[in-house]
Amino acid sequence: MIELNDFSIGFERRELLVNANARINDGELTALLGRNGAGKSTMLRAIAGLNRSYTGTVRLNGLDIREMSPSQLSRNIAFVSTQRTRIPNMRCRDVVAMGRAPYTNWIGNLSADDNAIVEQSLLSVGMAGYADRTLDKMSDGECQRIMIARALAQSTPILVLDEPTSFLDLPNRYELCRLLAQLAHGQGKCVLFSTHELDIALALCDSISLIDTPHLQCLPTPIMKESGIIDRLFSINGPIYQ
Amino acid sequence: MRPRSYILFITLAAVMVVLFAVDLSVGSTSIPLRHVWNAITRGDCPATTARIVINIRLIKAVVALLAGAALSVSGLQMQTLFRNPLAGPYVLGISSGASLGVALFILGAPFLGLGMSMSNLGIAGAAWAGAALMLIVIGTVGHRIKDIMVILILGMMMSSGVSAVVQILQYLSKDESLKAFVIWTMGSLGDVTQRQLWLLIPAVILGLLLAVLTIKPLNLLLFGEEYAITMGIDIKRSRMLIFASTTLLAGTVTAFCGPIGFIGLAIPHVTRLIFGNSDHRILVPGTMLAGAVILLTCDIVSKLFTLPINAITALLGIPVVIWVVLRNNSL
Repeated sequence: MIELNDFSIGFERRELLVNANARINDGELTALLGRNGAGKSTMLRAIAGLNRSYTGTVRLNGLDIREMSPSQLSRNIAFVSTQRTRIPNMRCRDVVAMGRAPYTNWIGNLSADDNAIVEQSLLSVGMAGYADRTLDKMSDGECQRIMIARALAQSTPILVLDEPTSFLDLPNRYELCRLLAQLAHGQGKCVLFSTHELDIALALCDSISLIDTPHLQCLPTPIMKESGIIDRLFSINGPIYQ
Repeated sequence: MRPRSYILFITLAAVMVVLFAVDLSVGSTSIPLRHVWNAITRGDCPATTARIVINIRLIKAVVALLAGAALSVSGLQMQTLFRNPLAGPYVLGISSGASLGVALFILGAPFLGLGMSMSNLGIAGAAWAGAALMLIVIGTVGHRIKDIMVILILGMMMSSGVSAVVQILQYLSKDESLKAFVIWTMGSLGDVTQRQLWLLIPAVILGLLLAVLTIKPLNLLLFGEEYAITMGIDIKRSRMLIFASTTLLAGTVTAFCGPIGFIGLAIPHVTRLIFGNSDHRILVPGTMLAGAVILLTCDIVSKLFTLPINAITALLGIPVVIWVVLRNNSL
């Protein structure tokens, strides 16, 4: 569970969110929507502990992230960024195994349990057949799945993804979101991801968090649909320049 | 570990032992391996031969072995930390930082009325301080600037700035200390005395031990700093550890042998290529062995043709750099 209390954050000198309060639940898939530059990435990075220049509090399962050690944080939240990761000569299995870092010894050797979790993570994202291939010879969608498997291997109750669908084609976007929904519902994880895909978000997510600058609205999807905020914010019939 | 890695480790170690022995036998007078063995084991051999082997060649061979391992591991750490295939102690200006420290010491000490008597520890200390200072500058700047080309250009600019300061110092100093400095900048594995060796060995071994402790953070840093943080590394501590290790390795070697180019840059690439692996559990010991092997080879070649060591490391290193640039892969 992610809780934001009086959370305010900016980017450079611009205020993005002011006194936001939100609660993102376990066992649910939540989409974070907002216009370009609204601060989706900034907010997710703050939740993942990568941006500390905010006021208010971010709590993960009741614990303030400012009071958590790096290792504690990595056992509570896993993050998938927009960065493309292509490490030559590193097999997918080894990439996913890096997700076990919070649990391995000083040199990073895997135990039998760790290995089992790595295989299970590859299986969950449907990439078990790719275990021995290397990322530099795979498509964007496949790499994305491997990076998600790596996050799963971290065995965290919370999973945060920044625009995981952006490099994918339409069928792959749906498939990826179905996978995320499955992780939330099947494994009871709290899954939060930012996206620009309104229809996918409305069709597959349990809740929607929406940045209506500088406010943050968090509602279950059916209520969000009825509220009309989405229509107002994303309407292409907005002000027309004359 | 894959079987290929096992075979490579054993092969490299064996080659290293052979080259070490050859390095002891090759020189201005060629000494047969049998005599080398007798000299080391205090067996039956002429007294002059024993003196050459123990007092000159053994020291030089040990220096070549340690310097090769140290510079290569330092290069590997820099390449992974900065996620830049062209990073290395030489390119990033760590060697120039050490040069500045040494220049200030050798050329500046007479101004302060300090004699050359304390120069052993002084040169090492000055080189360490210079290297550490340069790393801190690059580290703080590099943290703010994400673009890797910028760090490289900054490194080059800093080297130029440092050489400018060095030139000014040269202009102002006495011939005697100037000569000492110029000789130091040429780079040599043979100028290390037995006394200095007892400083070099523990410093390099400590640096290598610290490098072993950086294996896990380095593996996570392959994914970039942000991913590394979300996977639980203490980024400040890891950076400190890597910087401390690199300063000990590159700083010490530069202090005693002068700036030796290209080894730190080229060896990690050669190691990645032959092991076909990006895992630092393989790469750290792999670069140590490969670095020792290559610098021993360079030393043997330099003795056979009486060439300066820097010329040979450059001739070996430049093709690797060109290959990296042309292939233009990230790490």
